[in-house]
Amino acid sequence: MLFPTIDFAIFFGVVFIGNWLLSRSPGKWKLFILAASYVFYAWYDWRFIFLLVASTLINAVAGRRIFQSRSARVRRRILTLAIVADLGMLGFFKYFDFGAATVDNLIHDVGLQSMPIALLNITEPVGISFFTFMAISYIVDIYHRKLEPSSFADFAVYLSFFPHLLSGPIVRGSELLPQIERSARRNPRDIDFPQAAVLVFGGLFKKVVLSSYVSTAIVEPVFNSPGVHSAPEILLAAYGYAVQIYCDFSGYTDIAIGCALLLGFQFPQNFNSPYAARSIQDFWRRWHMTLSFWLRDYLYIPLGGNRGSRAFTYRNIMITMVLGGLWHGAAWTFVIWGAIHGVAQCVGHWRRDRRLARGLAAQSERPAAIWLQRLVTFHIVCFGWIFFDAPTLNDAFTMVDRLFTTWGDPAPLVRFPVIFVIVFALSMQFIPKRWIAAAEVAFARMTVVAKAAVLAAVLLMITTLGPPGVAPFIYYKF
Amino acid sequence: MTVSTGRRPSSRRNPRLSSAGQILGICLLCFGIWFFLDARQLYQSALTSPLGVRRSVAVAITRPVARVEDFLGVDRLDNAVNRVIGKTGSPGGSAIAPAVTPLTTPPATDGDRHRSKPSHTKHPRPPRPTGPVRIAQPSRAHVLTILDIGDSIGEDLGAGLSDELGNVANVKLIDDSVGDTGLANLGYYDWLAELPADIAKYHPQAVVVMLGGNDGQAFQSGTTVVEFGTPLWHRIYQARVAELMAEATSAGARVIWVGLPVVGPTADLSNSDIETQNAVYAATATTNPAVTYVSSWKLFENSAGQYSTYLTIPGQGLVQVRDADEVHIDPPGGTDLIGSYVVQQMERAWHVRL
Repeated sequence: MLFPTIDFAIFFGVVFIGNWLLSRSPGKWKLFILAASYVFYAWYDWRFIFLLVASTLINAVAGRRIFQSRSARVRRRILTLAIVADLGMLGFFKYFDFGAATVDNLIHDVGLQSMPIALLNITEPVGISFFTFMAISYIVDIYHRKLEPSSFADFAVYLSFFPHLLSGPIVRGSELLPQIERSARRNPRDIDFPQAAVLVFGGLFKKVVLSSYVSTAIVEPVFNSPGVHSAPEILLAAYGYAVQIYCDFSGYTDIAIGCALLLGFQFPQNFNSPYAARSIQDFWRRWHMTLSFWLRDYLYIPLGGNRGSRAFTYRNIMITMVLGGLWHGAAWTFVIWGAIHGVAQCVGHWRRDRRLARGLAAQSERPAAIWLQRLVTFHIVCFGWIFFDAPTLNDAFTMVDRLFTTWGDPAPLVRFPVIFVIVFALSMQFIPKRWIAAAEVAFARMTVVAKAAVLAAVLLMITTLGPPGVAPFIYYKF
Repeated sequence: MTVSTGRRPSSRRNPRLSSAGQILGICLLCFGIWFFLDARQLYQSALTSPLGVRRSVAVAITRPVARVEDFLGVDRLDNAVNRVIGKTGSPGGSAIAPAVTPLTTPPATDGDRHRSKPSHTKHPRPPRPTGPVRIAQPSRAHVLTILDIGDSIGEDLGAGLSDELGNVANVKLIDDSVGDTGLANLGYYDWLAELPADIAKYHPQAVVVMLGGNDGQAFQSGTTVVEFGTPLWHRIYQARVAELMAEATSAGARVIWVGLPVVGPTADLSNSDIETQNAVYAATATTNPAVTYVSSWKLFENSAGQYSTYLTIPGQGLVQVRDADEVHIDPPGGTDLIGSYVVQQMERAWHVRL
């Protein structure tokens, strides 16, 4: 069930009513929201419900056993087993065919007879990465005594809660479980509707209008056939993809956060104007924040973080970013994408350390320098997006090659409306937060009829400007 | 942010906070206003959905409101915006246009002579071709224009052809495939009307067609549903396929009709339905000498004769050729595979070197 559909609107309407009618009966509410979340997930493929149930059972039991055990060895062993089970499921569904194909190609490349490796043609369950990461954070936090195990029902609701189930944000147990435990205390009269409305309708606009338009007007034609497009088209397609993936993914999480808010729950922020970042480190503090903080806390820091030599820190950054790239998909393009971000972060650390050693600020604060930092960061990110979205490494290299060699070729796809939409979408990153807050306050002061009319007008604008039908969100496949 | 304290509301309530009942009221009113203002588009969207209870309910709800909207002219603004932004692809015109081609003519035994009167009868039917149309070897003097049409699988083929022919001198490829289209629901997108317009615009010497992914569904005939796979369905569908072929060949173009590939076990389409449709395309192609039918079925089978997302390509090893939905063709492995294969078939059929 995609968010921007009539199906979801009806589904959410029913869940919204049930959620608040049952809010004073925690037991019934949990049962209801669990059933609703499972229906939502089964809408894609009912068979994957068993996977969600298995993940819930394994991690709920493991969390309890880790907490109850007094032996450090037993605790560590249970944690390891649970993580192996979680990553095993993720690896099997996400990486088995990739691994088999890679091995087969290697055998072929060295000139040996191809050995028959059974390809399973596995259909990847949507959202598996997201709920696996949430489950891992839960058991690791219990292991480190940062979290106490919750009841089975609370944990099942936490893992399957439909607003975050398919594409995040990756909500930690410490963030959502206390809210679920105290669900009866939610007040149906205290809902921040202006904020929720801005998030939901703004998210719809970004996904349905901006992302769809840029995708069909420039990104898909160029990325699908990079060999026949000129440098200006490739450059615009890279900028276009930056806009497309931002509007697509942040649009999804805005809707998810807005829906959760309407049900009385707060999710963490997942995007904070990422293209206004002044360095790649800054970019990762603003882009898919729940994933980057997850990688920091459960991968980078356990690897040793920056508690060692400079080379040791760089190694940890590279491992974290490459694995983060591989998390996005089983392809070498994602590995290269992660490596580009890793190298850029290492260079950023090196520059910062040099400046600090010379007694300078970590970054220059002059306005011209700030804009230059933003420009350079944005172009590194766009360069990475070429590898991220290209179907193969060859295509990515073709694009990079043509980007520097075909400036004189005709560029029929470079048109004013495309440039306008890209510039418009990028400039949205720089809208002051106080403007949005002021708009929310103005909306809050309207009468009920005026609010409905404004939202209807926005909805009409979205359906008029958007294409017929809705493409799936990019991050579903991750 | 939400304040979840469960406290009693004070007399000076925070204006940002609303009650669930109020929000429900605002949302219902919002959807009501939007529904009235956008009824025509919603009606058109309902028409494009597969036949069944869901579609019938959606059409029954949206149709009367769309009529009122039409009567009041509320959709003028919507239409004007669509014109300004150049939004096409979905059917325009009145909201009360029929859902699918109305089959006013009674079913007949000869699909060619008694075929249905589709909604595009405003276009005069061109005469059928009398023999094969020759294609000259592309040169500077004779640039070969190839038009690719079809649905989203046709788009995949277009990407493959674009990679194959993009850098070939004196060959111009126009990819005009439109996703979600086909020959079953002409009320949504009428290829029988669109193709003549494309031919008039681009003057192609060759047309490549690959569609049918959305056609494994019933037609509506007045109030009667013509179920997929029935003899009547076959006659009507074959008549449309023959008509599409004739639209191209009567304008002097050669046609390569590419059949649908085998699909995977979890695909939304069934292989038996696809085989039924492919049989229609292949049989109809034999009735028109300027049409060549090309099967892509075996191209996407593995050595065991089954569907596979990955195939071993000589010189490349194991390559992903199909999308995760097990229907569409994955770029670049699959699109290159079918692109090069179809180009080979063109060379063979037209005796040219591309």
